Amino acid sequence: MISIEFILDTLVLTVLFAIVTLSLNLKYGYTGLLDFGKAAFFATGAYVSGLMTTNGYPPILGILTAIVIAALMGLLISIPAIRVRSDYLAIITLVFSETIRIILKNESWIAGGVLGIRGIPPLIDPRTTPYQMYLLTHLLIALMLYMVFFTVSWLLTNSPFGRILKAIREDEIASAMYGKNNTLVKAFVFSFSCAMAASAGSLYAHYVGFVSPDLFVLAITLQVWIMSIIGGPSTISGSFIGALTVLTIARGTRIIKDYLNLPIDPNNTMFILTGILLIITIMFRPTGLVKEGKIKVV
Amino acid sequence: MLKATNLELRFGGFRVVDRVSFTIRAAKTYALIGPNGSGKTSLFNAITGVYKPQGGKIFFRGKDITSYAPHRVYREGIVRTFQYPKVFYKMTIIDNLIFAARNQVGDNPVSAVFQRGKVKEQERNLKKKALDVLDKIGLTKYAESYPSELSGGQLKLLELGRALMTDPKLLMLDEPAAGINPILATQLFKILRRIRDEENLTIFLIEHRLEIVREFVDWVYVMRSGKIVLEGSPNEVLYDKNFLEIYTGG
Ligand SMILES: Nc1ncnc2c1ncn2[C@@H]1O[C@H](COP(=O)(O)OP(=O)(O)OP(=O)(O)O)[C@@H](O)[C@H]1O
Ligand SMILES: [Mg+2]
Repeated sequence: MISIEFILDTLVLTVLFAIVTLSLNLKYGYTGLLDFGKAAFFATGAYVSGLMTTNGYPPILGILTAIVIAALMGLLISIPAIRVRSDYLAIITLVFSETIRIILKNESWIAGGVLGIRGIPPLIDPRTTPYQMYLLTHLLIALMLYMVFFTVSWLLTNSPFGRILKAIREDEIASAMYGKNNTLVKAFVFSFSCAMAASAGSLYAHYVGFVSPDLFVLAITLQVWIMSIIGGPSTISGSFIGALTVLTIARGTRIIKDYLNLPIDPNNTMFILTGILLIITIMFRPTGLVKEGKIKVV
Repeated sequence: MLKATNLELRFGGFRVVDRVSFTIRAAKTYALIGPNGSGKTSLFNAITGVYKPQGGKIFFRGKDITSYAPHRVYREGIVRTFQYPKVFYKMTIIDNLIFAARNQVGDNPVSAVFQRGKVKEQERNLKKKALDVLDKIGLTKYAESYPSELSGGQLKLLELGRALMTDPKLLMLDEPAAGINPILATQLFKILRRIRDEENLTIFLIEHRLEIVREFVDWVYVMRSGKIVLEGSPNEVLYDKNFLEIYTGG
């Protein structure tokens, strides 16, 4: 039986991943900047929130600090990253992500090493509220955050600024020749997109109650990439559709195993199905489920 | 208006622009001609900041703009088109034009989100202006289309239109009529002449065929192997005894 709790839990994760996917869409889909370090910023948010709230600070302060720190980190790696060709950019972001993971894993004085941080308080006390209510509260908070980023991203991309993003993606020299400061724009996109991913990580930490260096693994970044590609990288709403599709497959395969006696591990069923869907998308709908639209300023 | 002295651009020890000096005066039209690979586009690139020149100076309206990045060159009022059209294929034609306009409030991300009223108002005005330009270059019916629907000649016109959106003080055109049929080419120069005379533009253009621009330009610079080797009025250059030799590379 699919329980309401199971659905709510899937939705919370969908919304959190939709935020991270949206941050990738802005960066890659609109601006053409490759980023294989998405997990690092998601995890940064989770760690900052985890560290702060387990030390007695309120969750809202944790999230805000996470956003600020991630924005600054984004700005920092944008400095070397912005001037290089896009394939080097992919390597820089990947190395950055792995470096942080390894440091956090080995330097246990920072944040618990391999064990990570445990006992991160949820946003609502689970002892006094029914479990469904607890899930629903987290879902609503996540949705609110997503709506904020959704709206801001929509306004950004449907504006003269949005034209610059696409111009940078298509032809940087032409963009510069028509007066646009590509470097500043890219720095902004880096910073904003990192802050966005971090805020989702913050909520995630509160939701599951613990964080560990495993949050940084490349698999998470790749999952976000798959969500982006399937949903439609150069869109805003594709972020939700992509996240929902991939997570439905991921969690659906766990349920199917109770009904079908498949000769393979449910995890592998998930990989196979996601892979097939990815291939179908790239072959038959390379722009993703949602298509890139015209810029609507007025 | 524009003055370059001893401008030099090298690629791996090879001087593609070799100590070039020249002057562009306001409200006049200049042609830069020369055989393939003589460095014409490279000279444009050195002026507009695509590549930093290794030597020499560029002054624009009395200001030293040597080594300015392209977006700063634009701010001074210089705009250039590209020999091989560099338009934005995933944007509509009208978006390509509006993109180029100056001083847009919504270029700033904070204003794009929080000053929506101002952004919209400006957008409406720029849209009118873009439609005006489209009318001038004869692409009105393509306003909402994408560049992939245009022919090569029309792409050249779009490049020109985008440059006109910037109200340029100096308009630099890299082979505006290259690769398009002679009829359309003549038409293009007709359009260009009308716009130039209406707005009193200063134009610096690259063209292979002197005959085509002969009626259109006031002064001609001839380049060969990175150097300006000959200059004069179109007729002077055309009847210069060395002209043919420069072209045939004797
Ligand atoms: N980015 C570059 N790197 C290396 N060499 C270059 C570069 N750009 C141009 N060159 C070389 O500089 C020389 C001049 O090229 P340029 O494009 O300026 O010639 P042009 O006069 O515009 O020719 P055309 O009439 O074919 O457009 C050529 O030998 C070209 O190979
Ligand atoms: Mg050329």
